[in-house]
Amino acid sequence: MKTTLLQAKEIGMSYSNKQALKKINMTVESGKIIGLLGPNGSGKTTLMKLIAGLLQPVSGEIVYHNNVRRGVESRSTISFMPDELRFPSYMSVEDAFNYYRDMYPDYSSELADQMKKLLGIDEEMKSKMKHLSKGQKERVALALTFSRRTKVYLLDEPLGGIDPVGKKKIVDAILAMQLEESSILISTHLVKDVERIFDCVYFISDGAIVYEGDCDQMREENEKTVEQAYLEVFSYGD
Amino acid sequence: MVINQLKHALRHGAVLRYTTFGIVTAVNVVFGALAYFNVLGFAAAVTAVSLSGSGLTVVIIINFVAGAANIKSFIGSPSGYIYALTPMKTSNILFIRIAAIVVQDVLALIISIYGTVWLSFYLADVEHNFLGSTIEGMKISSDVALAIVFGLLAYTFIYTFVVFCIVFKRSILFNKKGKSLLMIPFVPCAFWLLSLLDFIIFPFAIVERWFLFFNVTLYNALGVVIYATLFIIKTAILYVITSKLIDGRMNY
Repeated sequence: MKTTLLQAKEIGMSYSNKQALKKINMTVESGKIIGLLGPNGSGKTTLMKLIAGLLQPVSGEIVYHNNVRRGVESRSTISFMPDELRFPSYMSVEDAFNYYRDMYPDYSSELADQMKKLLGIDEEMKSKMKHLSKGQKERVALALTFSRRTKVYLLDEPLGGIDPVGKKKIVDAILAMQLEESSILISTHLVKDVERIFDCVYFISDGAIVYEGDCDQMREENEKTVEQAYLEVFSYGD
Repeated sequence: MVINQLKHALRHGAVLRYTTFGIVTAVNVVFGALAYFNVLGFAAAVTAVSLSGSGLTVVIIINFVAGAANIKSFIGSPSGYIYALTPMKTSNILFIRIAAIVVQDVLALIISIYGTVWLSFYLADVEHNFLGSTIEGMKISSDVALAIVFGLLAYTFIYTFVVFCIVFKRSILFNKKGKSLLMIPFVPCAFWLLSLLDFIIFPFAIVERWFLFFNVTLYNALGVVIYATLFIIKTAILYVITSKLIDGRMNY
């Protein structure tokens, strides 16, 4: 049975004089992998940070699972992978997993071990953050994100700057972690690399949702891939 | 879980990694030692600073400015960001940070008391047994002492001024219209105001150090208890201030 894990209602956000998001409405139901797609600067990261509780919206509200509002409880239902791994450079990978174990009651050693194997980071546990490559950092960040048993997993640009083999590893790991009682929201502009796993997508441009739809419906009824639909929506002067 | 969080904060909160720890300890030791022999008192009279505990005042202000800068830089640092994602109240996060800084203060104090006493005996024209070792004193001329004092005073004030600018300048940069980060400038201000609490310590500090000089351990212990009590009170006040001003209002 599907449950609503997250509802963004008329969310607006601005930085100084610039309006980053305009009346965003979004619903996340359980058991889905959802794509938040748009070009650079469209507002994807701002929306992700709002959902993660790092920012306060200037208008609207976000309602989390069990009717919870933004605060300590909402952060228990969200596991956020930011676009950049933000642990202090002197920490090792093992330190980062220890941090998650110390700070998150829903941390699961079992899930963590599973992710370490899936993403091949067992050998990097003693390495310091400052010595990791971009791809290694992304895999560590993903493993940490999915080491928690929570409702909504937010992945902000998980594939940026990764080689094709690394991308496949990450996408396969995301697919392996999909559960009926949780959902995964992925923001990216690299549509082709990840569209095969989406159940539904939201296209965002200049801070507004310009399209939302079910991917199977898009493929069957409109006979389009997600990438083709994306290019149609975001092409200029064609 | 709270114990784990505190252990994490002390392990990864870089208690001993910040250079301010070393600088504060060194300044503590030298000013404390010079204050014993009233050399600083002479310089203080020249610079129109209060005679009693003037070195201690400067040292403690440095301590708290450094602590405020530490808290402020933490908020904007990677550590602050990742703490903000945890299911913890913001005030609890800052409390853990403050606790780590208080531990740093206490360690600096312990080292500085030991260093101060050792250095005092070394500078004095006496031979003394201190904690099992014999220290043979040397006499320093007042000219040399004054040169050291003025040099250190200049360094101290420059350092304090730079840290002060960093703290407040960064606070202004974080002021976003309509957002609660307007509260952030009050955090370092709160630290400054609370450093005034330490003026209460001065009479006890002078008494405690005087008795240290004569190796009267009972009064030494009393001084430590007083310091510890005041640290706890200070931490509690800081916690209340941060929880009222900051909780639930941070933006990253």
